[in-house]
Amino acid sequence: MTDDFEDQLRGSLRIAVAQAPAQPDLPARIATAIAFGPPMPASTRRRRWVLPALAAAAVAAVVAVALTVTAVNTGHGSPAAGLDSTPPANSSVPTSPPSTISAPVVVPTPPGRPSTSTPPSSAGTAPTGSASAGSTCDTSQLMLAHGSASGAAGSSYTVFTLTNTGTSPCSLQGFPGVALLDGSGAILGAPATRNGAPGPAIELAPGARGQFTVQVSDVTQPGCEGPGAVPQSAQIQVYPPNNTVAIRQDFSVATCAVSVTTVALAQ
Amino acid sequence: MGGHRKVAEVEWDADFTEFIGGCTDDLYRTAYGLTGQASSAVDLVQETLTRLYPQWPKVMRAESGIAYVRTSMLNRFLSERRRRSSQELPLDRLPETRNRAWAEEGPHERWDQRDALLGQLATLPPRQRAAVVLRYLHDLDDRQGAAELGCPVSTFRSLIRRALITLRTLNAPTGVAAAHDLGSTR
Repeated sequence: MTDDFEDQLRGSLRIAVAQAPAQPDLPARIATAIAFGPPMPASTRRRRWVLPALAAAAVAAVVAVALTVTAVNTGHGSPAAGLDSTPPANSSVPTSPPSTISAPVVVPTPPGRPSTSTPPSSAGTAPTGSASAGSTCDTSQLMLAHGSASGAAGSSYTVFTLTNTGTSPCSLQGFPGVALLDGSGAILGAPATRNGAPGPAIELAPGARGQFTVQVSDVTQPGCEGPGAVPQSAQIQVYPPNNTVAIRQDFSVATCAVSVTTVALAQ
Repeated sequence: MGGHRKVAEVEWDADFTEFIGGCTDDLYRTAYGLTGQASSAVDLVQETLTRLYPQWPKVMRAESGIAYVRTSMLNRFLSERRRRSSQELPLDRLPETRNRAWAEEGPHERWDQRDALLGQLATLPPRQRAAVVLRYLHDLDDRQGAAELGCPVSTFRSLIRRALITLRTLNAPTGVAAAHDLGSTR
């Protein structure tokens, strides 16, 4: 059982780690260490320019919602082209499935942008070319679901999946457009910033899932200090990559900085 | 396997980048709780992720990527501590010097100063410290905590129990008093 002492310990520990000096360049340091460090397989070194760049992007996204769609596990895809556009061929990278699935409400938003800053990515900005042949997954054939948030000490991470509910394969590439909404459906704060670089196109067979991660920071971020200083969201709005119709779903979280990763293949 | 490998690496590169963009902060703060020092925490996180990078697909196959990475980080932390036979406490202040003052301020001011609690944690054996971080920072239950720490559930419970006894003693108003009493209530 929990007692008063344990509650204090819990609270104090959280405060103590939340006050740890921020290390905004840590992702970049890690990327650099990997790109230039000795213990890496030779083939990974070629990407020395990619990783630091991605890490730098990730750093820039700290205060925003980074929404990236990463292809985690495509079984097919052309054995293509350049480094950046190569589709994943590794068949063994399932990612954890969502633990709770709520029914999505599809909101046919007029083809305007969800917000000023983060429309769903088009492959255009991606250094990664579209390698997959299938047509882009349409919102109407996608089902959104999310797992429970994990994490502590200032950030929560929620894995979202987009399932191809259609009967034919389709592809997704890049970042979804993500924003948090209040009870009236208005966007809270800034839309999610993109975290990292757009991933390669992923091909979703019928029933297959793509996934992306939404990171929400709280009190440790500038401008968000203090419990209760930030509003709670009621819903999340997701524009699948290259779509102008959004999916909305109940999603309650303290809305400080939000970022999202690229869409990756899930299993 | 050259070709396959390249493709796989490109794939997990984006994935890895996503991960470090999203989870580094969480790992860093966990590491901070473990080490009590920002620089050590940074090193711990960096080393952990750098080492894990070549095996990234394995990480992503895990039920929870973050848990896998955290376990790896805990193992690294614990083995580093084992290597340093001398239990150095690289803290700014010794915990006791401040402890006496807070005790007089009453129970609610116990850990209002940032490194007070971390200083006390640093006096715990590393495994107890790790257990405390998993339980009270990450809210893991006995089973989850034991899984991440790689020990039996009973061991995890015992680590927590012993850590609490020590922490209570450090914070008992009269110093010695109540290790006994408080310990036995658990």
